[in-house]
Amino acid sequence: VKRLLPWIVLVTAALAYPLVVVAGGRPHFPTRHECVHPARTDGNIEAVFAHLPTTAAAESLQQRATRAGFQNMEVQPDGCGLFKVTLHGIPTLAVGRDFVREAQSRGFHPILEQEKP
Amino acid sequence: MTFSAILGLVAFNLVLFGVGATSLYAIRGLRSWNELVRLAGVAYMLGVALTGIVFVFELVVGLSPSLGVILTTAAVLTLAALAVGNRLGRPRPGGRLTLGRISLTGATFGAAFIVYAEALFRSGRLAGLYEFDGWGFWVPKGLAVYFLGGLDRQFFSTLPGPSYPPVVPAYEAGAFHFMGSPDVVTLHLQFWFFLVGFATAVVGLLSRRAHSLFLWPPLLVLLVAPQVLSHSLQATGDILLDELLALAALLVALWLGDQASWRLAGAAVFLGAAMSVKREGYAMAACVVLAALIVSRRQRRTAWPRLALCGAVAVGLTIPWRLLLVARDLPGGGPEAGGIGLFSHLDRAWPSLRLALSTVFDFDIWLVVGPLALVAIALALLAGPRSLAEYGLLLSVLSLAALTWTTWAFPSYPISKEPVLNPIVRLTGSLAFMATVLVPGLLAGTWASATKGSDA
Repeated sequence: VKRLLPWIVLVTAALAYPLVVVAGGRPHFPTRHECVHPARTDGNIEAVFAHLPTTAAAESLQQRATRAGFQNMEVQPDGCGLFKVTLHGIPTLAVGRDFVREAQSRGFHPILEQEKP
Repeated sequence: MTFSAILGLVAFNLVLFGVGATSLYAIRGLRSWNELVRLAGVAYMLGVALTGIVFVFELVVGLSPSLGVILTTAAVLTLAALAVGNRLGRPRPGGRLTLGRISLTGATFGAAFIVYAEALFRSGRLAGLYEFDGWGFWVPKGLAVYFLGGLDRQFFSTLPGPSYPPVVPAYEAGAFHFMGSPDVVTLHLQFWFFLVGFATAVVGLLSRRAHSLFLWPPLLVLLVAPQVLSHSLQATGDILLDELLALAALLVALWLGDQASWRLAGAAVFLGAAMSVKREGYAMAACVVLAALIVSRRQRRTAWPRLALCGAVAVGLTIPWRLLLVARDLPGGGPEAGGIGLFSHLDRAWPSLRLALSTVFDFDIWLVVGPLALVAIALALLAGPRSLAEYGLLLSVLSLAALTWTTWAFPSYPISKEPVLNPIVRLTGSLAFMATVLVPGLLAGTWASATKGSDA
């Protein structure tokens, strides 16, 4: 036992840390959807028309939205490897919901997101 | 970031371990499987150094480290090492792997290290590419090697650090291939393997020479130093350079004690790899060799030719890259002030030395790594192994001179520890790592002398 004790200490430590960590749930790998933060409060709101994999696809959607009357649309990286077509500067959730309804009437499906610094 | 990417990295590093294990067999032989386990870290880091050097050769002649090239390179190196070991009649590992005897103290420190490594892995698996140099040029170079299949002439000449040899970019490209995609997040774990390999190499080399109480605390202090915690997993060459230099310095120190030639062979490979990681490697490698030359002055007939050969082989391993720099008309990475420019900036000498010293002894950067090494050297000079103490002192003084020079010879660097203005904090890593790996031997030797004296 005396000879085994140090090995038991080593193995216990090696297993304890991962077990304690995993006890809080399996290892979690973030997905691209975690770059989307749905708007829940007023302030810092943007209407995101889509998250697209290429700049070409994003610019095409931006042009279509501009032709439909939505000015000041921007194409920006979303921080998760995709490009979002977005309209910044929406002051409140109420204004945002009105905007979404109007966009839906013209064939677009924007989502209100909270802008993160 | 997926489990398959992590598994790919594990496979990549097992390949490196295979190359290193057979190389270790070639240069020293392995008497048992337990010995291979004890020296697994040394074997792995030897594989890292050797394969990195060969990657540079291959890139210079136009071969990119693709999956096929990496596997072929590893197979050739492994078979060549086995053939050399066989030819030289090296002992082969025999018998069964047994559960070796370790002390409870050693196990406790070992357990602390395992938890540290697990926690670092956890933070590294989702680490972002935030370090400026990482996203500024180290990783873009790796991505260029991965996507463009080699050293693109324009890309490599326009990015910062065009004179830096491409060991780290080659490793990054290799890691991308094994991960199955250019995953710059999981890439941080490659640097975790380097750090764990370094630490286990130090433990393997010293576990039979120094008591756990002398071996582990200095190593753990280094590993939890703010600079190591914040930078060890960054996708840059800085910490890898420190690790390779420290292993070379330790092998040379051990060679000074027992003259086992395999240690110098290993040191030559580590020094060559260090010089192939960053240009600072040349200055620090010179400090290692020069310190050893001075310490071994009494045995100069036998020691100096071997040390000279070690240094020459190490420099020789970097020649292909230097030839490519000349062929492509790229800057060699020399000092900004030029050859005799130091004398035009004499007013920078003292502030540069003060900056280097204050950085090494800055608690917020290196904790007590500097004072610990200083105390260990002083104790050993007073009552311990004098030659090791002399080596440690000379290495520290010469390294400090080199660090002073790095600020003095680059007049555009302000006297500042601010990383974006002056790289002195990163550069002091070489001295911090080299000094730390000498501390266990210094303390153990001093303790042995003291207890022997009191027994008598």
